[in-house]
Amino acid sequence: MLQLTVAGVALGSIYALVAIGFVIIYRATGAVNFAHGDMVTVGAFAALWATTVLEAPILVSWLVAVLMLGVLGMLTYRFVYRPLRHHPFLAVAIATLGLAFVFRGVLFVIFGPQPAALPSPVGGGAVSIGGAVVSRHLLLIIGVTAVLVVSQALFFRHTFLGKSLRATAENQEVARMLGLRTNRIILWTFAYGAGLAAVAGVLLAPVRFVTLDLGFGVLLKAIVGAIVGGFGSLPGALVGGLIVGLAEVFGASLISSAFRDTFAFGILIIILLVRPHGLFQVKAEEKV
Amino acid sequence: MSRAASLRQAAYLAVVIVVIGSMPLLLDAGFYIQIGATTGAFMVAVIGYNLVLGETGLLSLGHAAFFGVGAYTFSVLRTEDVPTLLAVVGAIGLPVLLAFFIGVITLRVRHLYFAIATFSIAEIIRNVIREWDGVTGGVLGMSVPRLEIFDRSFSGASGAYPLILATIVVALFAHAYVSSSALGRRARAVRDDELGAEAMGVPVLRTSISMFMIGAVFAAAAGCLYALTLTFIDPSVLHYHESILLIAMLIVGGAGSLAGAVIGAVVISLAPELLRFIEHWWEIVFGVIIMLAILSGRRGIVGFAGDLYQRVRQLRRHTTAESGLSLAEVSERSFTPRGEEHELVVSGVRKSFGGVQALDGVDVTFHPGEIHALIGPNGSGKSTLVNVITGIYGPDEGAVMLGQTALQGRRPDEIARAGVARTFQHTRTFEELTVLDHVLPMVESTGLQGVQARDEALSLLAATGLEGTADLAVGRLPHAHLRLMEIARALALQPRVLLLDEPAAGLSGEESELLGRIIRQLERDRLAVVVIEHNMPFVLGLAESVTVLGEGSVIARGRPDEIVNDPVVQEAYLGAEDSGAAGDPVDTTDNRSEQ
Repeated sequence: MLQLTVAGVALGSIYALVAIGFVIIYRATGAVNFAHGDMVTVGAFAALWATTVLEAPILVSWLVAVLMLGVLGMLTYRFVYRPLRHHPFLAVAIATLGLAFVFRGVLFVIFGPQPAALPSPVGGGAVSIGGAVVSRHLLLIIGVTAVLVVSQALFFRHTFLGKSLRATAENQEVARMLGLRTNRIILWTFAYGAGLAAVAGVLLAPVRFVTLDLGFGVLLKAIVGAIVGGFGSLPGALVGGLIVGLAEVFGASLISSAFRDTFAFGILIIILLVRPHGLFQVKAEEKV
Repeated sequence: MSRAASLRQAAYLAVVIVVIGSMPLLLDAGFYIQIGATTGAFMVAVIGYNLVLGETGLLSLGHAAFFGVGAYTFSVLRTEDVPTLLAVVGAIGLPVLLAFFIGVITLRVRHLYFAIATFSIAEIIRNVIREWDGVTGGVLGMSVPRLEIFDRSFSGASGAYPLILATIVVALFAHAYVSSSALGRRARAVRDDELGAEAMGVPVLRTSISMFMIGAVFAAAAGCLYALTLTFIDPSVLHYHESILLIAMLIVGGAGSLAGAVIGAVVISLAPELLRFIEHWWEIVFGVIIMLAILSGRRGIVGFAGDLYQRVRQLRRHTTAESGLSLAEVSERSFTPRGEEHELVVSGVRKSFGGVQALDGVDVTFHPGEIHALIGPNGSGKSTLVNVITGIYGPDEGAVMLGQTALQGRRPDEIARAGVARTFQHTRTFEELTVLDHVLPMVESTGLQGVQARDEALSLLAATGLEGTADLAVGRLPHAHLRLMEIARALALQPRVLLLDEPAAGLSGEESELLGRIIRQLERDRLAVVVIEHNMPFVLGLAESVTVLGEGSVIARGRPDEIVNDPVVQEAYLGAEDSGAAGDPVDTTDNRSEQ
């Protein structure tokens, strides 16, 4: 039971990291980023590249991945989002689907289709907690996520940049009137969101193999989590991500492993039927 | 596009497709028959998907589910020896039911939820098919029973080929028919401006679900053809890659255009076959093309070609677009409202956003046959009040009554049909549609059809000075004329109450005068006209009764001369102007840029 819970929370943590990155970008720009999942993949491959080509230690390779993705996030903002900032939701969503194609295609050309393994900094071992054998890497995932979530909350509440980010997400026009440089703030938001995707990628890679499909499936479950929690809310993204991870792991092992994905997506359908605005009910009034 | 033009385009495309499409069959070129058959099956699906994404603006990430469910239902029913016709009915019926279900649970919240829900349901269905070994053959797939009618086999690529060509032709005409119907026009209105469409009385949910279900019919039919062609199917036909392929086809070809759907299906199907030398680069190429299609603001290959054509034509002709506004020839007409005469009574309405009390207990009554001005400094709650009356926001407290009918808590489109129409402060239009296309759906929502609807729409345009612009794309009209068109659209609903949100902004003197004349005519026709304005001379010269809002409450009401001399009003205005002198202060309740 404990084993399953740890596995569920670890998987949920990954979903939560991806969901938070996705939602932060959504809040800053009002647009979705369907390439966010492929940014997770790019993150994992970047770390793989750093360990194999640069022969960097694993933790350094993580740093390389996060920095590279930060830059990629900024480039994405500059060359995709900013030119499209007055376009409707649909146009941006489709453009990012195209961007996802590009990311995937580039990775394919560089790395080919074979899956590769990325080791964990804590190795493949396990520890025994109260009789249950728990993989060390899963605990690492949970630990890293917890640290990130807490520091992020502190950052948003107590620093000037954090507050500016929130103000920009709340209302861009007003933030600009108050003298905030919203463009630059959104740029950093993209860097941060993409960085989170890289973290999710390097954390997920030792559990699964590094493949071209690593991220897209994760993104969709992360978005399901964000919707379950109440789309737009950061605590909602965290809780929703955890719920989806737990449902997937418990459903797969207790009911049927063949229907693994159905549990995650099934929750979405139930939520949409019962509580369409999610658990944290962020029913934003539409603005006219 | 008119129905005739639409059907003509479908006919041209049908001729081209049948001529080019029959070549592989006549030449008996096996390789091309195979590619042609799968391309054709996809083409049917993309034509249908254009109705969903292109015409209604719904991004379904799981459209392959309908394709796959159609293919599987057909194969399973045929395996059970169900007669072919019944199998086809089942194979189309099931996906349509599915589309209805998905639509009902997700379209209330639209956009992202819809995209993710369609994806999720497609994955669940794929999972079920994969695990339901006994019936579907599981991961390994199932073979599709042969279809023979009068000793003629319709299985395999060459067998199914004529069937596919025939279905494409049917699909083309069906698309042309739907797209030029009232439903199609409503769908485009929803696509381009959901809120505006709703305010104009378009039932957004019903329109979206209908279009989604129609799109599912095409996808399911395509699935059956695909199954017949391959004679074998496995769960990968429902994979999200296939859904994304459909999106790529449409975007690359040109969303919103029938020719675009056809061209996209051909290009994306053939490119990997013909461009084998670019190998794995094709994903990058597709991605870049999709992004360029969006970033360049053109609608795919068709849009690009269209622009080029326009440019060449303009070079040859040297004509500039004429505005076509003919103020001298404005025709007089009446705008008799529908139904009985009622007052619109707003009582005790409160509305807050976060901590800001935008409306703090507003009472106001609008009488038939009266022009009522609603004024107040920026941020005083004027726009919020209009939004509460028209159902865009629900009030926290209070009631909005039209006669005995309570309007609070109802949807904008219901309120519009109940007789309360509005125009928006920011003109909401659909660049590529003609002026007539903007007005026609509104006229049709009152029950008029065909020629009658068209005549009524033209008459409304004539009365607002826009007769000469009926066939111009709205993107080519000057801003001021759009405001007049908005009024024509609102009047098309034959409303009892008309709320005009800053109608005179940006109008020239002559145009304001026309506006004033129209408003006076509305007064004679016993409408309750509410004008929200900054332009004091304009509004005070027009209104008999004025209500002044300040910080969410009514601070004064009376005749224009009383209001002008009221010290409370003067202070509210002067005070506001001092603090907001740096420009147009941002009205936080009225900010659309974030969407």
